[in-house]
Amino acid sequence: MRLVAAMLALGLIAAACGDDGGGTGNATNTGGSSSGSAKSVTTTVVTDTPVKGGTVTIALFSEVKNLDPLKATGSGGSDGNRLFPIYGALVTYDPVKAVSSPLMAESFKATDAGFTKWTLKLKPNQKFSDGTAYDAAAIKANWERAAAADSPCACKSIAQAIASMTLPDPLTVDLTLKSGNATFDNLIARNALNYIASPKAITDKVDLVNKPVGAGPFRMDEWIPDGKMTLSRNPDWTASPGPYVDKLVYVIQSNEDQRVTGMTTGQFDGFYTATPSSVTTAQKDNKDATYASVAVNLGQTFVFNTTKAPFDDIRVRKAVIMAIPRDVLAKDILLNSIPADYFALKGSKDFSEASALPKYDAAGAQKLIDEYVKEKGPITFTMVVFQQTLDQARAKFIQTALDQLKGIKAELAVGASGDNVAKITSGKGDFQWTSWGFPTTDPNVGLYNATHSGQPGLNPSNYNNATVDKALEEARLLGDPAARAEKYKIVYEQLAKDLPFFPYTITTNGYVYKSNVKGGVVYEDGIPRVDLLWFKK
Amino acid sequence: MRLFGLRLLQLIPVLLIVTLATFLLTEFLPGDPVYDILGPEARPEQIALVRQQLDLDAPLPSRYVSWVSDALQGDLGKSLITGRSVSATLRQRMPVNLEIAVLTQLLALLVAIPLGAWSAYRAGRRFDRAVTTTSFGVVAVPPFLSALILVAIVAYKLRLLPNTGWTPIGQGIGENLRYIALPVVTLALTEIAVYSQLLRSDMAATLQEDYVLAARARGLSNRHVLMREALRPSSFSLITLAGVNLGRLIGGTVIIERIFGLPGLGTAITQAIPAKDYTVLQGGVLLLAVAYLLINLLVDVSYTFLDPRIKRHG
Repeated sequence: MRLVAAMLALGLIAAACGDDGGGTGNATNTGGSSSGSAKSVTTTVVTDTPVKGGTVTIALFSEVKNLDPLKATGSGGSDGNRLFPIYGALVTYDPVKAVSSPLMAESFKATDAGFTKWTLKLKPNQKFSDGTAYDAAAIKANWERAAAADSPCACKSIAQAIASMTLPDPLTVDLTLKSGNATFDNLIARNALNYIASPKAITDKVDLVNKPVGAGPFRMDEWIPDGKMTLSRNPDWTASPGPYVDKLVYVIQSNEDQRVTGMTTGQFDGFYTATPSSVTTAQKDNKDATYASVAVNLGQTFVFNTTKAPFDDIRVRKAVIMAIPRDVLAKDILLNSIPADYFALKGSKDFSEASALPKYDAAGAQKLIDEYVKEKGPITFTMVVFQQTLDQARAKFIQTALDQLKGIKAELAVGASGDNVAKITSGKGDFQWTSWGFPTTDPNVGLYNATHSGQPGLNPSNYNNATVDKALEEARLLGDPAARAEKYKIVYEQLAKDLPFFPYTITTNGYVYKSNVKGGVVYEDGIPRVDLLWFKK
Repeated sequence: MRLFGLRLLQLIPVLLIVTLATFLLTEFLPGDPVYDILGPEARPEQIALVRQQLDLDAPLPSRYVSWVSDALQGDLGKSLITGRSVSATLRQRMPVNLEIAVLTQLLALLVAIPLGAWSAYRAGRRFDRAVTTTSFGVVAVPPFLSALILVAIVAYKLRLLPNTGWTPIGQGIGENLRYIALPVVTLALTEIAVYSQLLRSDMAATLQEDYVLAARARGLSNRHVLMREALRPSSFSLITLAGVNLGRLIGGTVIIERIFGLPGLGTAITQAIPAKDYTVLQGGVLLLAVAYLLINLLVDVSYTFLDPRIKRHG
């Protein structure tokens, strides 16, 4: 009965959780712990020799809309896990080392000091499932398609950052960017430009939405949307030693508990989760189960509109943060997740003690509010809340926390996702407060978008700070990761002073695997390297 | 045959009303499919472009007329969100729901008819009281809870059946039945409880009829009296309800689909609502409306076989 009760409670919440919000990470963890701290990071050490064979079945939480890279996000929680086996990846980003490694590429490097010229070299003898060559012309065709005026790609602005492409030989693309970017390779790893479709299929107008033609480690045999996707090993794959398993089966199960139960009952060999309690349950029921994951930083935040009262006043922003017991929010509302205490992820290269968030202090918060009320009158504001149960639960929690104080009143405005997104990203400041996630692995991408003043819409708090802009722009032109990290420290420290938004939890995106499944590794914001999975006999 | 043709004609205005109402309701929903297509990082010029490509700026009457004229030619369009053909989506998903609905009804009727008949025969006795009490208990438990209880016992504890997933019939009937067993039993539980009580009530009255008493007096067996003499005249309500329920089960099992990871029509329709994917929504609702109306038509026609007086008196 206890099991049923637990399943029921978790099921109701987890079913409503939806996507991971494109959350991103700064650490790869393949140990047994679900800790989000980058300090606890271990990398996979394959002590046994991988063997070929078997079918690995992995349960995912949601279906993808389509399989055409042009219409995909490349995010690990949503479609990256389907794109990788089908299309492979040019590069994979390791959030711990903060560097990209070539996979289907032989190398991807800047060739000038200003980081405007880049050379992408591909590994030889790679081909698409339609038999055509995976070559420089294919890269150019895909990236031009993404940059076209009528392109619906979320990656369009990145593709349009490329001023020109030349192909000195069949395996080389020389790029010139419109402006220098020291981590353009990381940017590619983060989005759909990393996934290349057959140019012949594009020209022939093949239905890539349903029948993808890629050159990845697996080829799709069957896809029953909302049911399962079956893929077979691609015998032509040469970019890594794998794939080891003969077949890869993705099963869609939106109910978190059913995914956990499915692994325990032997239906699945692994499952996706961003919920720490699911990892704990799965590891309790499955001895020596592993969790290959990425700790997420800035994946879940509350955003203040810094151009609109009352949040145009730092005292109110600070008071609200001080009034919310983040540890209780993380434990009771967010299923035992880890509360965030800093802007930067502890243990990461860009971590700084000075990026700490204000601690919970209701009395201190009341003092700040009293000060503000004396000058400008009582504080009332509206929170833009999404329809998902979890978003409503955390909004109500905050409303209740603020109700304990005098002089401040929060209203909730629950709206449809599309309407809310439109309000938040319009750049017009049509909201006061909302929950939001910043897709970040490399700060050059997510942190830049979230905080640079030249990013209306992408910077929903309308944050504008010259020190931050300068640090972000300088970091973009630094080739040395350590030097870049110093610049990002400046940004995080300034954020801790200005508080335009605040992270409230550290979550993890990852995959729990049974003990006999080896080679569990994720890249980017939690995309599983399914080419490296194998079964220990 | 004339009655059948007439009833078929009556379906046309009903279908028009249903699709128009769905179209209007979709329009009143908040949100915009373009945001689901492009995601939060979309720029205003991209949004405008996609709206134009999808013809979303056209006035509502024009879009409805265009949809109806395409649908009449068998073209239900493409999903605004995925670009996938709506007809193909429905063809892929409908078998899941049809199989669940038909197997659920078969199982429910197979269990409920003897249960209800015997309860009526033993009205007021211990067996009847036990069945009635259990039925009320089962009806009080919502299907999603029954599903989780069954998963906990049958899948988790006993490891007899899979807790989630789907295998099409084409990939092996045995595997297909293994995966569909728990969803079918979950849904059938409530139906069994309702059907058995309904039949019990109707049959208890029929058993008091003179001709039944005469049959008993002639020394005919209980089985013959219950199944041959009393069942047919007692089954009007049961057939009506089973028909209505069959329609409901085809499209109304979304929670069960979600819990058991079934790629059914309910999931497709409920995902289309918040996304304002009106082509999928319209196609799905149209299909369900046709199925619902045809099933009810068949139920109406079946009355004439159950009671020839209906045929005679029109």
